Amino acid sequence: MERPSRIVHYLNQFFGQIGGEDKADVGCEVRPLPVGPGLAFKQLFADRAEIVATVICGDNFIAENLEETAQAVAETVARHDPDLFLAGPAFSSGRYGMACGAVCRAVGNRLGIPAVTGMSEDNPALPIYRSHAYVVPTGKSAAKMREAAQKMVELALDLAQGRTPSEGAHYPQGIRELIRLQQTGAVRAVDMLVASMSGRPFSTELPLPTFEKVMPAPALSDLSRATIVLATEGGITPVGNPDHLEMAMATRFGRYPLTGLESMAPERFSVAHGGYDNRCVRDDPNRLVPLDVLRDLVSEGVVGVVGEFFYTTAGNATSVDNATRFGQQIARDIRETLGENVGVIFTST
Amino acid sequence: MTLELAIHSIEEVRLAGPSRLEGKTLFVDPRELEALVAESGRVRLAESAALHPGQRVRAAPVLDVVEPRAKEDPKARAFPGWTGSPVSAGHGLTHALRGMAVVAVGQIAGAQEAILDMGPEADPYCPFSRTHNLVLVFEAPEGLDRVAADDGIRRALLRVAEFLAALGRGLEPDGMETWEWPPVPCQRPRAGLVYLVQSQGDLRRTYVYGQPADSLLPTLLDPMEVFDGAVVSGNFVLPANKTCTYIHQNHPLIAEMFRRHGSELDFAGVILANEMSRLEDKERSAHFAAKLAGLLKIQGVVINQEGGGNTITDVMMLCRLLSGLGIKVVLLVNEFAGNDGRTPSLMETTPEATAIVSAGNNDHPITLPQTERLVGMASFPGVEGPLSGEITLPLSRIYASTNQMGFNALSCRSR
Repeated sequence: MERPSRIVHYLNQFFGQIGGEDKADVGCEVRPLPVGPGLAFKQLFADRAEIVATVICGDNFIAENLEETAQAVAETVARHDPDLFLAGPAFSSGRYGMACGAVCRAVGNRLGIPAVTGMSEDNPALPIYRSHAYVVPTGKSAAKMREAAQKMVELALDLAQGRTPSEGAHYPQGIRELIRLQQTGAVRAVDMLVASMSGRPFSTELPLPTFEKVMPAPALSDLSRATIVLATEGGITPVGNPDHLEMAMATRFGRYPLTGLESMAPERFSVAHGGYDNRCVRDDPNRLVPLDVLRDLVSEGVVGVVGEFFYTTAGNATSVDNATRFGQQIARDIRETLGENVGVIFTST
Repeated sequence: MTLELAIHSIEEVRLAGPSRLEGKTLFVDPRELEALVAESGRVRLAESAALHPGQRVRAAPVLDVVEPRAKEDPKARAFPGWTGSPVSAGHGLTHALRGMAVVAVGQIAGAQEAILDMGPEADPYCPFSRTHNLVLVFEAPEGLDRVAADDGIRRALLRVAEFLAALGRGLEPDGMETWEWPPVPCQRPRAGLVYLVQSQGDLRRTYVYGQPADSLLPTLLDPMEVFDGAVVSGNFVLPANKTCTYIHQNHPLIAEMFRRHGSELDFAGVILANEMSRLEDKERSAHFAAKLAGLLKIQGVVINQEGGGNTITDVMMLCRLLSGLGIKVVLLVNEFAGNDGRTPSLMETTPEATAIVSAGNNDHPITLPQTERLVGMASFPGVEGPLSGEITLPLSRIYASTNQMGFNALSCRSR
């Protein structure tokens, strides 16, 4: 017989039996055993799988810094060397659903193991995370826990043992797969139009995607004490593009010093970006990285200090994953280099 | 009015003089091409190559691809505004060399690199892996401005394309295509096209009778003038995303609309509109195009995209406006779904966009095996090692693979 699969389970403060809304701010903790719904899972798994740890985190705590906390959870999970990850189920709770989704994605990316969670059809986290986790359809509330646990366990065992899950075991992941059809796009488009005009049914080939919402950081309270950093996705580089930053589909960003420069001189900076007409930026790079104006504002006392370097990449057909990573790395780099009270002017083309 | 295309099927291109069309073989004298290019002014022809489907050969960086065309009347021009005066096209007799393409290869700073591979592995992805190609490698003299180099290459390319098709004059064609506009009226739902082109500055241009469409107010086109050289590409964005001249000349949606006219729909017309650089200009253009659709009493449209990124705003804005007028809208776009198909495909959406045809995922990685011969450059951005080796690159680098005029048969499905 195969050894039992090792499973780590994620719960919020409520299902983790710490407390209700008043405890939603508690940070993450780890218990070396199943907790709450985990006990139901344990019973259903019997000797086929073992919950080796449970990570519990307050819903508000994780929501405040979703991506970063999810990654920290993934690090914790990694230490337990699991074969599979379970989260929730979250039923229709949006906040808990976001947490389960983000943690599943982070664990999947970090460990490459299957991550299973459960949500009702109307959970707002479902469209955002369905492609990054196996999301089991559940009822709207914990009254449907038994049924949800049963489905999650069946799917988890199938995945852990390398079997193809049965039809309907999880929501379609919405992963876009390239295919070649018999008919050209033109034929298909006119077919679709004729069907639409004559009231016959048809199916779109591209269901509209749902986007993740990014919450803006709170405003700086006093600009005259702040450090302002310049950044752009318009592809400005030192002349000759010494680090060979890509003009499109960027996999990297650059950071270049501004120390001693009053403005962005065209003799010193050029553009590596294939997606827009950059003639005016070549003529005057300040229009994309507005160092000249920023220096003026510092001398007028409006802005405290200029960050003495800028960040650059080409946001031209660059993947969302890469762009997200650039953002996280740039934010971390700014924190480590410049500390608190920093603002960024990020220009887009 | 009537446009007749005399179709000469080409099954082989041979670099041997004198230049002539013999059966289905096109003989080309490379010295004659060099002279033609030299005459056209600014650039030099460094190399000519005849590439055929199935060969282990790769060409890069590809700029434009054109189908050879020439008017039967020697005084009339096949590319008005380029090889002669910008007088109205779309009538009379035009010779077309079908089954082949003239491919411009050249390095222009700021033009996004495109690859053409003739091997069987590329065939499912690239429509021009299936044509017999005369590849022309152009070189601009040192110090020539990139915009001037681009202009010089295009003039030379179109001149060569016209010269080749003129070899068909006086020869019996393999077939005739006859197009008429306006078509015979019929009692079917009135359907049209909003034909979007991308013209957004240097090296991102589309030309209408030689004029950049950058500030074009949407206009009506006679579909036959599109079939007869009125629209020419100078757009070097991602090579899968853009519409090359060949696809303008053989506009697949216009052909399909004509084919359905009288049976499934009443082909009401073509509205040409540019995807603008600025939001205010996008608004003006979209509202103007929607107004023209109303004037034509159109009940349904297909809208194609050219390019990607900011251009999806034009597409979605038009979709919203036209849907608001009660017009049925189908969109034809490609996707940026990430190399694993997991990222959101579109940068912008509108709830009215419920009928979309997908031309495939630009980010899908394609691996092509080692090739025996390379035409053009030896290395390629984003490709480790020599371009002649086994390479893996996103579909977006494969010329015209996910073009948004519906010329190819790629798509995506969700799983």
